[in-house]
Formats: sequence, C-alpha cells, structure tokens
Amino acid sequence: MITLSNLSKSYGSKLVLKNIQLTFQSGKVYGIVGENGAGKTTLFKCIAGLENYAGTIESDLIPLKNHLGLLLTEPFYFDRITGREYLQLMCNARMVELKQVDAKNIFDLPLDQYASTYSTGMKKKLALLGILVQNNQYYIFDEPYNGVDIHSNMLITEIILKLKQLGKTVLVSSHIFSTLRDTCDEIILLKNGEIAQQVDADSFDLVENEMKKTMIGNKIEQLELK
Amino acid sequence: MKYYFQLQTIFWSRRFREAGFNPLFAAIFLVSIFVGASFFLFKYVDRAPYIFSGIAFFLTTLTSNKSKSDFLSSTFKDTLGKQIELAEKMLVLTPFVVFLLCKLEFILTGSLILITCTSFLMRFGFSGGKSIPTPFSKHPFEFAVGFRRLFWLLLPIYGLTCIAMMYDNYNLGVFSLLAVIAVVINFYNEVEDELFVWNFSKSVNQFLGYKIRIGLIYATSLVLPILIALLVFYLSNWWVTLAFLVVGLAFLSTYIVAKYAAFPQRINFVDGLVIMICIPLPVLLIFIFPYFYGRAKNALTVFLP
Repeated sequence: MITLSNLSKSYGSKLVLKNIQLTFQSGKVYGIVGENGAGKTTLFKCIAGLENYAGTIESDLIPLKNHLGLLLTEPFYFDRITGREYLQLMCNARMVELKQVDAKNIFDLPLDQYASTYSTGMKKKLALLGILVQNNQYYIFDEPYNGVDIHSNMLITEIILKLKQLGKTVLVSSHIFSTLRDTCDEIILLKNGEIAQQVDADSFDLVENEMKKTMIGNKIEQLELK
Repeated sequence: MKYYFQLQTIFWSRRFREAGFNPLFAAIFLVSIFVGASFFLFKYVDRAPYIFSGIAFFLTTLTSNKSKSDFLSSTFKDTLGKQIELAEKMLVLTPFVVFLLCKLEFILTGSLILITCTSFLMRFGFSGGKSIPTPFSKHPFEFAVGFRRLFWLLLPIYGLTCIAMMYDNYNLGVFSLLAVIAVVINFYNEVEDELFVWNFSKSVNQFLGYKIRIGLIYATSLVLPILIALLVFYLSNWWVTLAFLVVGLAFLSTYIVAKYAAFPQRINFVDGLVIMICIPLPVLLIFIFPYFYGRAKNALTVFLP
C-alpha cells in the first residue's frame, strides 16, 4: 500500500501538484489520466523520490523506491549496451539474480543488439522487461502503451492483470482510455495538479464523459470542417 | 570551422566568468600552471615524458563523445564535422607537443600525434550497430560500454608492452600499464541517467563501494597481462611496479567518486583541474579522495536516501 498525504509540488512559483490525498492498495490497479501537463509524470516522480515535494508519502515496504519499478515515457539507454546487459544491470541494481533471460524475453527483443538501436516501442518493451525481472512490489507505468505494437499492447494489458493477481500495486497512466478500462480498479483524473475525479470501475464512463466534455468540448466544431 | 572555434572561445569565456574568473587572467593562469607543472614533472618525476604523453592523449579523448560527434556530423556538411573533431584534438595536443619538442622528444612526439590520429580514425570503423563481445557484461555498464568504445586502443598498448619487453625498456612497460588505467578512467566519462542510480537498492556508501570495487577488479584484470610481464621480467623492480599500479588505481577510485560528486552533471572544469594537479603529486589523493567522496555522498543522497 502507498499513501500520499497533502502531496504538493511546485517548480518555482508554479504549483504542479496541489494537496494530493491518495491511497493505493495492494492487488489493485490505478489509472491516472489527465491532459498533458496535468501533473501525472510529476506525481510518479514524487512517489519514486526523484522529485522533492511537500507532504508525505508512506508505504508498507520501506524504502519505497527499493520495491518500486518505474517505467518512464522515454527510457534512457547508453550507446553500447545490449538489451541483455541492460536487464543484467537492472537485476544487479536490486541484487536479484537474472535467470533464464531468454525464456523471459516475452517481447522477442533482440537482446544481443545494442539497446540504443532499438525502435521506440522496443526500447519501451525492454524497459518494461527490466522492471519486471526485478520482481518489485509496486509498479508505475507512465504511458506503457505509447509507440508499442498491437500485440505487445495486449501483452502489456495481460501483464498488468497478472501483477494485480499477484497482489502488486500498479499505477498506470495512459491516453488510451480503453486500455485503462480493461485493467484498472480505479481511475483518477488529474486536472491542473488536483484530483478532479476519482471513480471505481463502475463509473469509468463518468470520467470518460468528463474528459470528453472538458478536453474536447466544441473544439472539433471550431475547425469548421466541411 | 572558424565560426565553430569562435563559438568555443565564447563558450569557454562564459564558463570562466561563471566560475568567477576573468577569461584572460584564467588563460594566463592556466598556461602558467601548465608550464610550471610540466617543468615540475620533468624535473622531479621518473619517466616524465611517458606520463606527460599519457596525460596529453587522455585529454584528447575527452574532447569528443557520441552526441557531440552526431551533432557535428549532422550540422556540418561532408567531412567538416570530423575535421573539426580532429582539429580540436590537435589543439589540445599542441601545448604538449611544443613542450615535448623543446625537450627533444621527437619520437615520442611523433608517436603521440600518430596514436591520436589513428585512434580518431579507427573509432569510425567500429561505430556500427553490431555488438562487440565484452568480458564485462556481468556488471554493466561502465566497462561494457567503455571496452566497446576503446578496445582498439588497448590492443596497441598491449603491443607496446611486448615491445618494452623485447627491447628491455622498463619505462615503456610502466607507461603501458598507466596508459591502460588512463583508458579505464575514460570509461567513467559517460554520465548515466538519474534513473540508473535511483534503481539501486543500496545506500550511498554501498553504491560508491560497489562502483569502486567493480572498477578496481575490472581495471586490474585489464592491466593484469602487463603487470605479470613487468613482474616476471623486472622482478627486482616489483615494488616500483606495484606502486605505480596502486597510484593508478587510486586515481581511478578518485575519478569515480569525482564523477558522482558532480552527478547528475559531468565533472566540471575546476574538479578536473584538481585531479590533474594530483598527477605530478599523487600523494594529494589522500586529501582529494575524501573530499570528492563527501561531495558524492551529498549528491547521491537525493537518489539513494
């Protein structure tokens, strides 16, 4: 479980997150949605401890970061490091032994090629694999579906469901609402750094409608398409 | 090319000003330091020309990296980007070459220029996408990445060791040992993304200890052939050989902690200068190492609380 209390974050005078109160239970998947700049990635970075913040973040496993797998939107790779070595690095970092790496390569990545030569989707899949082989208790997936092919999208959805089944806590952000509908127990709508809505699976339509209303509105009409 | 170097002049002037120095004064100061340190090295340190050449070569390797090469290649037409890179290296080499020529070290001067040019040209021959096998995959990334980047440089250094043994030149053997360590230090020029450090479930002390331990083990494995050759062929000098090894590894350890003292930025100019000053006076490492270690602990606490 992860509990955020009065979490606020500002860059200079700009308040990016305002008094966020959230509890993430074990065995549940939470979808974080919102426009670009709503504060999703900042929220994830605060939870990971990569950003300073005001307020408190507590977890049942301490320190939280040692049990957290963080998939950021654009994973970083060195020029001359192979996929296999990247996975080794991720395991070394958490003192986990890397076993049967080829069997675990469910995305069929060319592990002996340099990771920096991978396509955007392959890079994302390698980064995802990297945090999965660490066997974390908590997972944050920031836009896991971006740039990934349809087969891998389906696989990622199944991975998230499996993690949930294993009692892990999973936070996912996505701009593809249908993927959240398939995986999440709760969806949290962030707007200007605040929680605009927090609903469970029965009320996902409410969030989707709210997003359509506020984010799309009559913008299509403004195009005057003929 | 001219405009590029004008921009570099402006860039360095800004850096000096930001560090609180007048650019002209700083330039005069640096030249004075260089001349003073060079005379000191040649007067008081054994095998000074080799150490001096090693430092010169090491500095030329600092002038280029992948992102810079890519930028220059994509910005300038034809081979101009490559010419600029090579010109930068020659610029760095110039004061060393002048000094070596003044000391009548003609063969060493020629070798230095040749190795610099060859290493620069060979780098492009190995910049393809195929992965080069490395014995350092168990503990990525510095040695795995660095070895692939600079393995071609290690081969002629090992060749130098063979020549040293064949012609009974102990100094050249020691030079090749130090050259390998200089190459290894260069492995640590790559600064990783913050997430790579954050990922470690270690305390700061454990993390730095792990980095230093892996660095020392892998560096020793790379110098091992040279070390064995020196110990076998020059057994009476065993303590001098081991002393050079210890000093080299002390420099490596200091460079590792200096890197993390500046993290997530690169080692800055002043810190680089501090390390350079230790080259003729390695005893200073006793004070410099704890200084950088303390700073590294502060810098890493954010990522490894």
